[in-house]
Amino acid sequence: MNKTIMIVEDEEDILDLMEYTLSKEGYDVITCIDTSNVKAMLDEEDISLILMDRNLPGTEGSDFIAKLREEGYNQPVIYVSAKNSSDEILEGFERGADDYITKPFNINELKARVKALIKRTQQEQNIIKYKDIIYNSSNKSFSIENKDIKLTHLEHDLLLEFLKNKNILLSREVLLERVWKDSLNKQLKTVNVAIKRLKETIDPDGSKNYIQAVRGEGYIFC
Amino acid sequence: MSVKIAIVEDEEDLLELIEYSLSKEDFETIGFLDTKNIVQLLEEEEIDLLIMDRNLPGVEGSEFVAQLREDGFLVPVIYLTAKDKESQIEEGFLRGGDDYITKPFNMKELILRIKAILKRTSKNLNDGVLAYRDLLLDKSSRTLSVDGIRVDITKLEYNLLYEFIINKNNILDRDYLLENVWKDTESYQYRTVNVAINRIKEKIDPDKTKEYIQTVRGVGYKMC
Repeated sequence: MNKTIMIVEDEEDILDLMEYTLSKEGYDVITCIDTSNVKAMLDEEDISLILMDRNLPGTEGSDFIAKLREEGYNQPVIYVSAKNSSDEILEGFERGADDYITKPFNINELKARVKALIKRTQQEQNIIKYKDIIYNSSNKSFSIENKDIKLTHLEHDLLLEFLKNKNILLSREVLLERVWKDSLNKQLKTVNVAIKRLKETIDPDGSKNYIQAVRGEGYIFC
Repeated sequence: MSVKIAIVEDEEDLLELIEYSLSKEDFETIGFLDTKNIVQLLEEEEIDLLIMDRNLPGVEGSEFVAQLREDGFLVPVIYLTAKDKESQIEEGFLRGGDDYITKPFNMKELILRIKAILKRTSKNLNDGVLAYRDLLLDKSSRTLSVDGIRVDITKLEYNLLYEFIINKNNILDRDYLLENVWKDTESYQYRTVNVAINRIKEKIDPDKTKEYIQTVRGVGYKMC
């Protein structure tokens, strides 16, 4: 699932630039030009990070965040602000910042700081459970009905890809690219063979039908 | 337990100044003039944060950090360096940094940036609050309030809730909990975990309407 980033910024050009850049990085982006809907969004959506301007119509951004913190909202915040004196930066950190970027900023650095902060605040799920399949990423093991199953490296990657994309149709091309990391030298038949073998391992009597073939399209895991 | 910070900086005067300033904030510091003993240190001690110069004798600081990351060390890193070009800053992050401060720097800002990282990553920083829905853990007094009302919990229950909140939405299995909360996987049984969780559920959700902690059959528990 994509991480969601909220941007609060009243200058539309900068807002567009940030939104464009971060969505290209694979994040879902929610934009606000002032703070009026921020709290409602935080209650409704699973927001991984807030990028917050400080000079905003109505409220000062860091005042707003300080109040959110008092109420227990704990989402990571990076200020992106023209307030660049060292006192203002210190004030930003005292008012609940995780990071502080001064304008004008380098968009690549912004990207890097966003990524670093999300990495340290959002732990990857280490256990994924789906129906009777359990995956534990700390030792990369799968079990079905509490019995460990032995998979080859490739089968492991393949099943994990399905587990992460349950109920989503995956074409053979996509699977070649993501699992085999090579869509040029391998043939689509490779996928068929591997999936057939995987099915025999995880569902020997064919009763559970985890992976269904969709004719002419690909496979779907459900 | 206090926060332990390792500092790698080859200019001795600066190293001393940083160590002095951080110790005044009640951080325990260990200073190094090069990277030689860092791996050994990380293997032997629980280090909460690494402050890393880049221009060092022998190894370049960010290359060293990239190697640490490859070897699986997850300790948070702040670069503190004279390399201040945009491309160098990007490089620092790509090589596994958590923050980047360019020299000359403001000591107060360094301290605030350290705290901002520790707030998210260290159990040893006893400062601030950790909130989840209407649960609020106060880290300095190690107390819990639910919907604004103080609820008495034991030390173990505090640690257990803490672990659930920082790992929210993530399934924690009983082995993980024994290791990280009880710090002992040998002499305890899974039943110990079950009993403790039932007890804490009764405390934080007596009429069982809020479902903070869910049981995931065959795996463990999760907070959601």
